[in-house]
Amino acid sequence: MAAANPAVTGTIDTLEKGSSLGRDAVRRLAKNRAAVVAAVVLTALVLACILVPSLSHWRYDQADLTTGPTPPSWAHWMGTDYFGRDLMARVFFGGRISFAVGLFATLVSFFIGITWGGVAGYFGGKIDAILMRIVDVLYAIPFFIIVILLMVFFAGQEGPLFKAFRSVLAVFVKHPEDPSYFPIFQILIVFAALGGISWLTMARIVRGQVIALRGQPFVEAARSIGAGHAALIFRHLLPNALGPIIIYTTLTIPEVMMTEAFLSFLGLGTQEPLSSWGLLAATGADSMDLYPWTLIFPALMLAISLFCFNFLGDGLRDALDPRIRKD
Amino acid sequence: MALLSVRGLKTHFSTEDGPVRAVDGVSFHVDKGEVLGIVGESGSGKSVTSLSLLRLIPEPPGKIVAGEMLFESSPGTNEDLARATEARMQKVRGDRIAMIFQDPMTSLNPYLRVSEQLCEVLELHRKMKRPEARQKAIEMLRAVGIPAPELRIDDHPHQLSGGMRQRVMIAMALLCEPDLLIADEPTTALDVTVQAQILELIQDRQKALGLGVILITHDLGVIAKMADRVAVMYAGRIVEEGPVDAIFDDPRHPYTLGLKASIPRLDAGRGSSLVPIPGMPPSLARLPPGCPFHPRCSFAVARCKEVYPEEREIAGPGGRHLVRCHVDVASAPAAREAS
Repeated sequence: MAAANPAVTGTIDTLEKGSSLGRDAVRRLAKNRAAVVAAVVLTALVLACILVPSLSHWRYDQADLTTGPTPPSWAHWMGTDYFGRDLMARVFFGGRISFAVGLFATLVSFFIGITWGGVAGYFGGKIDAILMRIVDVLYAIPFFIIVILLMVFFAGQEGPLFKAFRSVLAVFVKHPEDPSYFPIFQILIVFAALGGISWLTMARIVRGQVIALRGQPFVEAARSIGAGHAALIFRHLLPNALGPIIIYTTLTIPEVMMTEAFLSFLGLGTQEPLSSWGLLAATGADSMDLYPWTLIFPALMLAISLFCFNFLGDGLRDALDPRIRKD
Repeated sequence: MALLSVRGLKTHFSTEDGPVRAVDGVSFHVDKGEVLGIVGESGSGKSVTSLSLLRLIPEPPGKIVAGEMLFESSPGTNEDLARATEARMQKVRGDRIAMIFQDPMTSLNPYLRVSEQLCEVLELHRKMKRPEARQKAIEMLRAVGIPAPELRIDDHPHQLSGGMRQRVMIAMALLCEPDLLIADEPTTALDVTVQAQILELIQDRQKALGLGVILITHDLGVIAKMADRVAVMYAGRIVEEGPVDAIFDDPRHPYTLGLKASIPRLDAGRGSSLVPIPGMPPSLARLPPGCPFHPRCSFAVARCKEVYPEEREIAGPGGRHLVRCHVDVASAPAAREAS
């Protein structure tokens, strides 16, 4: 590994500024064509999701029953759905929710999962046992049953959770009883449920990494200069576990997007008139023999982004761990 | 008053095979500006002793079960490090007592630049801001002989050679001008030529700063070059201690004799074989009764199998010379083929 790095063989006269492990990784990633293409496509998709719903003169919830479902045309590039709503606006608006779910779950898994696993692995012993048993218990809860119960019994229009949500909402808006807030509330439930489980695997991965690293001499050396627990965990141990963390993160995003799509497909996630790729695919599937475009476009978007995330994740894994490079 | 005086230190580890008494009643002291060498085989407890001094023993399974470590943290005041709080220890580590580790390849954090690792020490103990800390770090790198330190400070550890990394470790240890430096096998992982340079650097800094140094090694050549006094460890205890000349010229413990005899010599002529100490160091979980060295000792008498020998002072020039042995090897008629 050392021999492969030109900086090591350079003499002192070359006096070049150090190349970091991160920069090496970026260079290796740039050589991986599939990963670069995936990154470009993903960036384009995210940009489209941000821009298209704002720039398009069709609104995602603007129905026109006189139009009804029409195939793709110059006016509606992806056609219109059963209610005459522009499908392109709906697809890219749905992309916002799909990506937002992925991003949110990833942030949760990043902050809670990494801290949880880092603390458990670093301290070991009783603290480790308690923290990891909590993870085990959460793992053991059947996720879909919990979400279904949550949505059906507690998150109804009259359920206690929605009442609580409305009383919080009253602080910010004038008319919290407006029924159009209900779909937003339901999305929040989906976010909470996905966030609640997305950090579990991350915590386990990070804990394993930290346990492997904490016996390393540089950790002992860092303790010997007087570094405290927080400095050891967040400054010395976790950055060294960054490779697996980044890789797992890129795999979490598509997994969570997939779960959201699945929940919405079952009618438990995002609700009309909002849209997400899972919800659009579900309604599209109902009428796929008559209006196939209503299924094809959202399904295509979902497939492309999942595909790209997986490619990017593979590329990152190869870039960050030179030992498993295939060349 | 000594800079550090350790009395009756016992560090034990609990394992599945029962308690391992890695350090079992060790007493020594280091004065200001003095180099104390601790020698012994692998597993004799010398590294555990050094880690105990900074309370870096992983706990569990390890534990300092007895003893005191009186450290003169400011003139006239002694504090017992064995009883200090973890928060207090964090202030002592890297500031008053610093440590250099064996393997410079793995003792620096691979993900952090040299500058970040050096500045961390100053930010922790001197509350310095980054630009000031960086300036001080560059000066220190220059003082330990790193060429072009303004540029090398932004390197990652993998861009430096082993010798350079050990210089960085030394710079890191000296940044806060500690009173005591613990060097645990500082040259074992290095080339012989680099070894000499690093030893000279440590010696140079020690003299310039008046440091007390505890130098831990299994290399008697290093001890002869560096140390003022020597403590020889075997199976978790100090078996002989005295001025470096007395230990080399007049060793009184059979184990020290054996160590001395097993040094390869360039002037010994071709074909002459090395003289190893027979047998293996005992398992610390199952020490033999009496003197733990008796199964390997050519001087052993019946009493060695039953009673652990008390400390005995040897009369001689140049300071206290202590040995723990029932036999007076200087006058013993026993087979001295080992020496």
